[in-house]
Amino acid sequence: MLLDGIAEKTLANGLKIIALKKTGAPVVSVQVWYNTGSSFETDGVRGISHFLEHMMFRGSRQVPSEEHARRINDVGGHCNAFTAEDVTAFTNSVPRDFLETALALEADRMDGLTFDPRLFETERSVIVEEYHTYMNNPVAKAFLEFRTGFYGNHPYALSPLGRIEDITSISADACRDYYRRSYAPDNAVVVVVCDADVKEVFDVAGRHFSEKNARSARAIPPADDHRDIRDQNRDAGRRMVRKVEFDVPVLVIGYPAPPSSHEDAVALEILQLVAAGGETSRLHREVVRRRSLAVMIGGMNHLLKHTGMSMFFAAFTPDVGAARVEAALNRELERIKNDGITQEEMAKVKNMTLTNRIFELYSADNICQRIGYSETVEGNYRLWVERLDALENLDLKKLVEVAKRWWNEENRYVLVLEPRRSNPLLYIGGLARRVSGLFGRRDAQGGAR
Amino acid sequence: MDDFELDNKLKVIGVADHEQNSLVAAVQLPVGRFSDPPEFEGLCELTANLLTKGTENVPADAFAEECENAGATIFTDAGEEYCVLGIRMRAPSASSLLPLFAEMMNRPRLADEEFVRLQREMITSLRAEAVDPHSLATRHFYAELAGDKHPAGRLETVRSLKKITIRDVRSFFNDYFLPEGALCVLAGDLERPALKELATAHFSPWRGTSGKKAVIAPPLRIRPAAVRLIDKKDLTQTSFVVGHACPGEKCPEKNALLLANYIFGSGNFSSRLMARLRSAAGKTYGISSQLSTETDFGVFMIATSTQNRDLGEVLTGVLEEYRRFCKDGVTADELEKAKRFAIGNMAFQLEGIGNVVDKLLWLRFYGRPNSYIEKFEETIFPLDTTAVNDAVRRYLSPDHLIIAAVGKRAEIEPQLTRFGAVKHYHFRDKA
Repeated sequence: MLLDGIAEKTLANGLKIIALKKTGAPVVSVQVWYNTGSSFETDGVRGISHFLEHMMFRGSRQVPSEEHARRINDVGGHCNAFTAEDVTAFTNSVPRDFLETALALEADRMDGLTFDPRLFETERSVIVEEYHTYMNNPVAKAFLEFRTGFYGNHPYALSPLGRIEDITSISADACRDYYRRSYAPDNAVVVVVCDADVKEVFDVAGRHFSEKNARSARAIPPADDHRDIRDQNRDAGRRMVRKVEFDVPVLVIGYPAPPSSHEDAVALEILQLVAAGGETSRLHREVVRRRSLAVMIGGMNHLLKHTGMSMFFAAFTPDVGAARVEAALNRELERIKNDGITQEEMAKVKNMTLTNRIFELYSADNICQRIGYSETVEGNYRLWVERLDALENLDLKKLVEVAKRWWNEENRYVLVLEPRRSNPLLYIGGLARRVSGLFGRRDAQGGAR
Repeated sequence: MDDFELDNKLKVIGVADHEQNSLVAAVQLPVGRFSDPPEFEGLCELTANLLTKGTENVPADAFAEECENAGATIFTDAGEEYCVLGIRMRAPSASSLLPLFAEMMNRPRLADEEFVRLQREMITSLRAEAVDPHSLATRHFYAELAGDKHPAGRLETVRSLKKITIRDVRSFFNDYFLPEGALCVLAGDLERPALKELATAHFSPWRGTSGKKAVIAPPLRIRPAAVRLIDKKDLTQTSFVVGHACPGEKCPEKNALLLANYIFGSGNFSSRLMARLRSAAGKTYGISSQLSTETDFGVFMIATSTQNRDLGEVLTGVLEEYRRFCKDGVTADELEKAKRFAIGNMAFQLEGIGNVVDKLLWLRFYGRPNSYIEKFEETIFPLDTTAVNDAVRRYLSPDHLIIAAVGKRAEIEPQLTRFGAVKHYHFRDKA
């Protein structure tokens, strides 16, 4: 099995390197995952992790501004980065012969950034533009407000985007200080997937990273108030209704979810797939197909290091109304909580997961990302590697307990987005359909329903 | 790889790939949205999507069950001149799912209630896009560029989708979803003889002829420069698209133009647009140009967003860079880097059987031999600045630009007037 070949090595300075040899396309994926993100931030510097992510492309002692990306592009590759609540990751994909180029560039910017004041201000403008892009999307904007209410006083309440008042006032000195305290080998994981022996990867990575010093400055501590958000008594704010400049009514339901490494995480993922994964899912079958209450329905678990959200969303027409969709959705979740899932559904989920895994393994980038995420957010990359085994060992009875524990009505948060402009006549067809359904319909083959 | 034709004239490519225990089957039909009859835009996409909702023998629910229980996924992609329907699965499922997929292509159910549901879903998706600034800008750009007589200017609307009936879908299916002219690619963890046997056994029964020819959009006539302002009051940023028509895939200088486009705007941080408007000025989170080509027709377009107050400055910067580019062309150093990117990046375009299938479908539709990939480096390498700059001067020009900007009128109108006479729209107006 491909993933059996994953190897790891920790350097004297604390840097962990995880490597996997993968044959196939002659490409290399090099990623560096830093254990820092928006949940480490404090008031006044909300958005600094994201700011720092941007500055990582804006020049070091050895590599001028934007030159990292250009050097990667010049060899036929691509690079990117993202900031999340618990981690900030930098990704590079290059043709096989440029493994050392990518590692050298990442090693350089781990401790070599220069924070040129002019470039700092230019990048601030870019981040403000990015901020406006989100704020001009009414659904994204409403969801950001919803998540703040959902997480309450938890460090995850604000998204990595931060606060505009902080983004416009963060100083280069503050950013430099944050960098020194967060970006160091003892706070990072390097992941490499490529068509090279792992020994070669360790040798090359060792050459470029061994001389890096572990942090001498005091590390940014993780927030100490990662409380269980289920314990937060917030009856007010559990239901949010917003009129937005968007033409489709949307319902979002969120439940507090366990941390990604929790023993319930795998079970919750199975439940989510049964409830909302594909056209044969419970919600699609009942709420979309049989009862025609929603036009589209879906769900996902967003599990982070300390907690998360298990969510469901539906788009529907104004003639239906959010309350009916919500009631139908809840009914299906209650059925799962009361009756569990069937053996056939379990078998389906296993097959879906296995097929997804097989197709994931084609891409060095994907594998790298999965390993990096699992190692830093879940705490151990083996949790991802062994996920299929974990599925095999799940007891159907346990799933009912997990569903009851996490899909708890008392902890539910609801967001309803109503179009600012709503003309029921636009949906007259829907009304007619609902009336005609009372009298039965026939399909093209002449069969009656 | 095996290349063969069945007796129903369906062309087949079988690719044995043993990297993972998977299989992808994809059928490309030489018909796309350009063949939608006027006022029925969306018909091709609706037809392609409806095929996936069951067969004559297997109703939609049972069809979905059989696929999803095996962990398989059906996919569709309706483009301008061709559409693709496919299935991804684990290789052991081939014996049960490939016959089902083949039956879906040949004898789909096309049921009334599935049609109604799908139509509603497509209308809802369109409504969701209707207020997105970038979608609005693109829609208006194409409407101005192509008008309503050229297929590129006729985009689906709620009205056009509502006009479509199940009879239209069945008729479109009978006219265009046929084996002759279509291409099936089977790629995955089976031996070549097995792939050939499966294709022959399951796709040979697919029959039908119609004599109807799908639309290949003609080249666009150059239209006068124009500026459209689409008013959306709640926006703090303006999204705009600017560009013009250009040649299509058949243009012999296509690769030269692609290299030029990489240098100008599609090379991410390496591009001139990003260097000036983002890296140096900080006026945008992202800006890019693209060359979007069909057989005989193409579009060159630049797109970005910026705060309303900066629209004039950003548009001026874009046009200055474009004029300079069209006049002076590319440098030798830029071209070297662009060629290295193009050659190096090919490895990523072939990573995994999904990408291999996509590449084969693209190659074949535009009449390129399989050796195109092996010889790609030889094709790109000799292109010098003379060749690329000749192509730039011949096909790229700042003289007939169409600009479509979506933002708050009160703030952006004064800035737009310097670029030409402004046509005004409200974001709810038909493009």
